[in-house]
Amino acid sequence: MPQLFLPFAIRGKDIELRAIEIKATHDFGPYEAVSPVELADRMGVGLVDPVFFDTLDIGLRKALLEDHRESWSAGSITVNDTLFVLTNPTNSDARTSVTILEELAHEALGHPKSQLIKRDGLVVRTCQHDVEDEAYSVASALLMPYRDLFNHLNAGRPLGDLAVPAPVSDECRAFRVKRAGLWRLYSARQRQAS
Amino acid sequence: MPDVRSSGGVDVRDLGQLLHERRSAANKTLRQVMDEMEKALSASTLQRIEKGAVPEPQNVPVIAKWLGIPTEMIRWPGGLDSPEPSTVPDIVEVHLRADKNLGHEQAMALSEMFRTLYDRLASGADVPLLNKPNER
Repeated sequence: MPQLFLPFAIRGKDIELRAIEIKATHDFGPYEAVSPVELADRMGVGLVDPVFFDTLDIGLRKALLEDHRESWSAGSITVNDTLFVLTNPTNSDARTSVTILEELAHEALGHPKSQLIKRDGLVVRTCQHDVEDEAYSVASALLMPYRDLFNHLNAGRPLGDLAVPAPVSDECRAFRVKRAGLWRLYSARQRQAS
Repeated sequence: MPDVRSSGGVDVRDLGQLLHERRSAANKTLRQVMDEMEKALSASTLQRIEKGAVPEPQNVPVIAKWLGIPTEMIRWPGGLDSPEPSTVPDIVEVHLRADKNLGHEQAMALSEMFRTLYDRLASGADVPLLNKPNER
C-alpha cells in the first residue's frame, strides 16, 4: 500500500483510516470526497424519497413533519437483507447529507444497534456516545478528505470555499477541521491572510 | 407535586421536581443529600436533575431510594411493560419507547412511520427511492 497522507493527531488518523477503508471497499480512491447518494448506491443501501411522506395518513404526517419535527433526523431499517435509510425531509440539505453518511458509516463500520437493557428493574435503551461520535466523524471525513482539506487550509483559503460533493454546514466543516487536528493551522493561515 | 402512588407510578422526568420538593421541605442542602446518598451522585448532578435533566438510568435507583419510592414504580416515557417483541416493526417500537429522549407521542409516531415503511417494502409495494441501490 502506498504511503498515505494522513493526520498527525492519533484520533484524526484513526478516523481518516476508517473513512479510507470504507472508500476502498466501495471502489473510491483514498483522497476522493464521497457523496451520500453515490456511497449508498455502491453499498446497496436504499434512500427513501421524501415523497414517501405524502403517502402517509395526514395525522401521522403532521406528527412527524410538524409537531415532532425537531425530535428526529433519520432512521434505518433492514428489509429482506437490504438496508433502507429514511431522513427527516424538514431538515436542511446540509444536515441530510451528513445524516445519510452517518447511517452508512454505522452500517459500514458494523456498529452494534442500540440494545434494550434491564437495569435495576428498569428497561432502557442504550446509547453509545462513542459510536455516534465515530459515525459523525467518519461521515465528515468522507465529505472532506484530509489531503485536500490540508492543502486548502494551508493555502490560507476560507473553509467555506472548500469543494464538497454535497451540501455541508459550517458547523460540520469546523468540526471536521478540529477532528483532523488542523484548527491551529487554519487559524494561523487565516491570520496571515487577513 | 407529581402523584406517586395513586397513578401507579412516577414518571422518571418528575424525579427532579420530587427531589427538589422533598429536599426543600426537609431544609437540606444538596451536599447533605449527596452525603445521605453516600456520594453516589455529586451535588452538581443533583442540581441538574432538580432543574429538569432526566437522571441517567444508573442514578435512578439511588434517587428513588432517597425519595422512598420503590424502583418498580418508576415509569419511563411510553411505558415498557410490553412482552418481548418478535417482528422488526415491534422491535423498532419497543426501542423507540425505551428511548428516554422521546415522549410517548413522538415514539409512537416514529414507530408508525417505520411500521408503514417496513410493511410496504416487505410486501413488495412500490416505495419511492432517491437512488437505485441494487443496480451495480
